[in-house]
Amino acid sequence: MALLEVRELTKRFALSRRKSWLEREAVTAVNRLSFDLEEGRTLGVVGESGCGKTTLGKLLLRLVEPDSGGVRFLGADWLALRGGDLRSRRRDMQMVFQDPQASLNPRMRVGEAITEPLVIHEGLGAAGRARAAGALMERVGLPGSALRRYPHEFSGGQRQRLGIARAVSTRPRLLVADEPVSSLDVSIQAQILNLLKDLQRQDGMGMIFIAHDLRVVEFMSDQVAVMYLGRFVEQAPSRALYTSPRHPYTRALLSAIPPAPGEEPREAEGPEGEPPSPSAPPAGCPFHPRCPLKEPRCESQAPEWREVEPEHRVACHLA
Amino acid sequence: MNAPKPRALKWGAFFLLLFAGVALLAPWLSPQNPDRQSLAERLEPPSPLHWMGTDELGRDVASRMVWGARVSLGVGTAAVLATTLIGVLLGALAGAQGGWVDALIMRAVDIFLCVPTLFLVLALIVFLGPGIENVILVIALTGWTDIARLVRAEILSLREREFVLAARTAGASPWRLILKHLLPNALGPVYVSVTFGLAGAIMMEAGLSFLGLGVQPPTPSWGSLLTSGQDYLQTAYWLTLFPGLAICSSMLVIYLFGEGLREYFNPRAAQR
Amino acid sequence: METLLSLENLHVSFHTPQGDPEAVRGVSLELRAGETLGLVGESGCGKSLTALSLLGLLPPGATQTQDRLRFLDREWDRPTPEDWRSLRGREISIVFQEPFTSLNPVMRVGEQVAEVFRLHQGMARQAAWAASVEMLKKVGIPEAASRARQYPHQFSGGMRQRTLIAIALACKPRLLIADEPTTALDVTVQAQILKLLKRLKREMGLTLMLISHDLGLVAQMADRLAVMYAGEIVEMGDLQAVLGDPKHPYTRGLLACLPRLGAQGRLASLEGQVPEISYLPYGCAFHPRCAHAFKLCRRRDPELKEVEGRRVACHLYGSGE
Repeated sequence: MALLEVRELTKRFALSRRKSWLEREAVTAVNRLSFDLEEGRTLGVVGESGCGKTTLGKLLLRLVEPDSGGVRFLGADWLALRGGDLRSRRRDMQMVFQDPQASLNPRMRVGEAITEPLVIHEGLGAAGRARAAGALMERVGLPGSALRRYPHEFSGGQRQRLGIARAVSTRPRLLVADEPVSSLDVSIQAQILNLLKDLQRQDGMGMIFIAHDLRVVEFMSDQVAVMYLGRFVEQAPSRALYTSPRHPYTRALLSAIPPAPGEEPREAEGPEGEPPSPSAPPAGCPFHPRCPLKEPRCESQAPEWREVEPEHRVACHLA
Repeated sequence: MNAPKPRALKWGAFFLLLFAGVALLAPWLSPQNPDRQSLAERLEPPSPLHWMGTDELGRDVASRMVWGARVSLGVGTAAVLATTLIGVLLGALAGAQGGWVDALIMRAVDIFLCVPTLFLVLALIVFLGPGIENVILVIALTGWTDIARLVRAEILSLREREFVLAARTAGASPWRLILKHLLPNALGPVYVSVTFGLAGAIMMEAGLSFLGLGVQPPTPSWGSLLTSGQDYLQTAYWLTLFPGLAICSSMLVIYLFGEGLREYFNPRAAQR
Repeated sequence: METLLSLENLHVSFHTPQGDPEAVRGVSLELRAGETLGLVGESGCGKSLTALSLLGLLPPGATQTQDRLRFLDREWDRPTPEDWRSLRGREISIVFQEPFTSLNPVMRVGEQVAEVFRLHQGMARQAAWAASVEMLKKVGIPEAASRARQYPHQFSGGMRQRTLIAIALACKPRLLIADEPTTALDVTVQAQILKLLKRLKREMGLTLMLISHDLGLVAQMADRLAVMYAGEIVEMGDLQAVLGDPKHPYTRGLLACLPRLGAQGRLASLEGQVPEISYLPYGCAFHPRCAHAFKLCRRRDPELKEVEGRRVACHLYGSGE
């Protein structure tokens, strides 16, 4: 049984602009997404800004409610949970945020902040809390002596460690990490990525790793899904996706990464144009205006989401 | 939060404490009994015995000023505390709950805002009758809207911040969210606003008492002292000068403190 | 090759009540006409401040001193505000990271480019507009004539960055400084902007100083590379030499911790934190994070010395004999 099963998940946001007087314009941020995640595995989600990857994370965490679709988590209907039931199940799914500056309450001492989930779920007392805080700090490689400090006294990388400590405090089964290293310096990114991998291995957590950086995603993930205008356009085991991409957009993304020093030199080439506004997505295949291989049917007919090889799914007429 | 405390804050706090000290220690500081009349000493100018002179009934003005501080500052403080309590409570509720609760509270705010405050105050006080308790009540009832709007706006912007989302994913209850995460971070600007509210409340009390609608004689307050002095403006300047100075300087001190607080909470904005 | 700009011993300090910490500590560099110099480092290493001090654009509270600033055969040791104005825009231009806040939201895009022509070259309104449309065409804005009439919010991020490049290049400067020009953009758009910069550099004979935290990006563009750490250049030389065989432990560490496609297991990582400028370690600023640090590193800050065809500031290489 899969840890997480997502079916046809959809979220639309109404804009303040109106189409007519009765109807507001809307953006379909997440459009009928379906995927599974096994225990202890990592699904990487890549895409450019505005593709809906952050909304996907928030939907899974129930920070935003979907319009339709289903989510089963740990064998139960995750979307049916309400109020206190939902709050008590939240310990099994936690999130690491992008901005370590903003993800800690500036007026809470860090010892208090990282143990808050434990206080909520296990009603720890002061002594238990101090013990748990010390252990958590050690797990994420921070000195236990820093527990009484405030978040602003830490550097960006250290604050991200605190955010991670808090997220893993309840030993969740699934960790959703939304751009956890994109605001960090290069030399710090590696530390945080290694830490996330270590913690995942120790606890056997599943992970949804959302990022725009294809290198980082490849390093972290077993499976990678490429998102464009609210949909998955390709999903495959990491190795397969990077070595034999099937969707033209995936190929374009891969060719746009500048080669790292030491890799085979080549000119970085991206696709032409920029992603269209999600409030007015193109008809047919959403990628067709930028696609070098476009055919007439791409303009009118949306491609199906189909399996072209075991575990390798693509939404493209030509794949 | 470790920024050096601005100078305005230090001096403002110092003088504010001085005023508060005078008010609190009135029974010991007051040179004489403020109500003791002495017809032999009517309308005497300031002298070593009566530093601020005497009034038309021969009462010691300095003593009445000290006791008046108690009433003026006391009423102001009580009123502003009540204002804040109502404002923070309703503002937090509106911001954190949203939906119809928010709509209801904000429409109430709109209604209060579209009636001129002075008219509302006068109407209420005429309806309720003059007196210390009613002055406090009226100021609180008419002043809460500013704080409520401020708190609501702060909470609305905080609600989308990542640490609040993090608390939600941790399973925090709505109450925990409000008390531990939203309110403590929303209160910075509220402190500033409360300080200026204090100045407003003291002014309002002085105004009402001056009009005879506030504190009733013989209880001294700075506003009522001004009233009783107005008949003698040309012959006994000390009856109006000292209460006037007291009101004025308390305003200055409060504003100084408020500016200091603002700078403390938002160092960059204050430089501009 | 002709030297376009040479800067010697630049210091930038910030005035604070607690003292005047230095954010740039003795940077010297040369730009040869027509080359691309990549300036690489992490946040707070002083790379942007170094660039801004070439234009006299330091933020309030920051002061710069240098022993020598030579640009186009003229010495500008103590440039006055007028000196800066005559250099800025005309001879040296800069493109910033933020394409979203750098344009005036209530002015037509074409006007904003035309303004440069009017102010700097005294062109008449119509001529300036025509030149503006021409410039927008040159930076690859499709249907430039009608697009010029639009407002910035109608432009995508990539087109805004193109517009900013057009503004920067309107007066045909000799030197273009690009400070993280693609950091705020998507990967696919980043590739387009880099291509554009390469083309413009060739067409206009520009000298380019490219500032970035991204070694991969700089590797694609630069001829020479300078790596900065804690306000100093720690290694500088030809791109191939530095990347192919990095000498400074920091350069090595930075290269090693980049995730590579197809790599497995753990990433090599630089432990520790980037130091804050007010609490710099004594001696070599990198020594607390350096695996090779020895006694001397804790005592003395190494100077840049010639090592195998590039310059390195590290005691591991011939420590002062």
